[in-house]
Amino acid sequence: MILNLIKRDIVIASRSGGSVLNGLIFFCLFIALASISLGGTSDVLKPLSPALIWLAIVFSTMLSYQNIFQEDYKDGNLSQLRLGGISALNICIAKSISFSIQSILPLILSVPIVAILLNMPLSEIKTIMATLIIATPGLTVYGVFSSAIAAKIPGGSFFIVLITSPFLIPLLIFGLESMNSASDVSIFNSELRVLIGLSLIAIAIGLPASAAALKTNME
Amino acid sequence: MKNLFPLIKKEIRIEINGVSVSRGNQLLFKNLTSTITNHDVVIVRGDNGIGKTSLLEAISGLLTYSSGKIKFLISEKRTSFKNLIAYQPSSSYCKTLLTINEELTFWANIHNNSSLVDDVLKFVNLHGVFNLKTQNLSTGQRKRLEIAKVIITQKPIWIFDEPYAGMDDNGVELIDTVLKEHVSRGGIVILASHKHTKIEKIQTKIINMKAN
Repeated sequence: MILNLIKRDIVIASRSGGSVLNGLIFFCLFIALASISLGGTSDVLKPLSPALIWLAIVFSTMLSYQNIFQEDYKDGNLSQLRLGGISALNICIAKSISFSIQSILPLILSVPIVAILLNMPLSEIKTIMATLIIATPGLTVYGVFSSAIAAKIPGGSFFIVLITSPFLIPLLIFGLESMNSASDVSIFNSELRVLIGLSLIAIAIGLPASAAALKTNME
Repeated sequence: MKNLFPLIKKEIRIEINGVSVSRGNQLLFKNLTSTITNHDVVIVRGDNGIGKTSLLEAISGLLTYSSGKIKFLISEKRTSFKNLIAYQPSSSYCKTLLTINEELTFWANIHNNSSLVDDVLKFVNLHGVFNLKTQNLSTGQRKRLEIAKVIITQKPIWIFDEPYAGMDDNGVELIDTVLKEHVSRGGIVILASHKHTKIEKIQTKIINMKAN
């Protein structure tokens, strides 16, 4: 049943186009505008590019958080899923998986192209991809959590930004720190391990919390 | 047609006991008591804003009521509303970007009845347009899809909010036929409606809601 839900969400997202492209376009625009405003010379941009990419990813995923539950709540699909006997936890798991596939995966896939444009060395591109992939569960689950809380609130996007930012700051800090201390020999430094820990905590605490929030909103 | 409407042999009972529902701070109705069992058609009538939809949602388990109790029993054993109820709200909950076939198959999978999709589509006369996106449907076609989604749940209690709204004579006829068939096989139908149709001729309870 979870698979059915994921499949349906991805089919809808692929047909709606706009909502998926939104994040991607924002990501590219952010990088382009930042490079222009910072002067555009590679000696200025080079040390800043990992931070720029990370910030752009965090902001563009934040943009898509609101869509996770609000539409399903509004059109009555959440109630119907409940009558279909699907637990809130299963709905949250399905939504997390479909969100990472439809909103975060396109962003991560576009990172190498952007990184090459910013003149990043290959080793750094590899590490930034690794940190972003490791941070994906965290980026996803906190979004699902905030969206489950704000499902009932009309215009809850401000509220979502307010809830998620404290959770996303540690991910951002450790993601960037692990990039700085990455060596050619190994990328598994202690900061990266903290990042892995943060993502696992997000899954262990965030998913049940989202399920609880969703349950209260469905009654 | 028989396989779409399974015979319900077990005794099913809904006991509504002193239920009060409020919306915001406003009390809509209080102390509603009723018992509904197999072969019953319950029609909820009342003016706009009196709380018909709230009552239907409370019975469906989608709305928490302020006092009282609604119990569901199968052969005298308590059970959850989730095992019994199919609820169709007054507005459609179709995903507009899916086709009729995809939408129906999704809900069929949720209710583990995917083998019935083709038969149900034929029955409600949507078989010819199964590849049409639901955003392009007419009001009548959308209603037919809603009926199809209720049939495919294969649940014994059907709850409809204004099923006849926007239907032509053929559509009303179709809904009446479906509801009658379900009731004659032991099902329960609860509906809120302003329209007087043939369904009232069979064993019907009417809950008239009046302002407090």
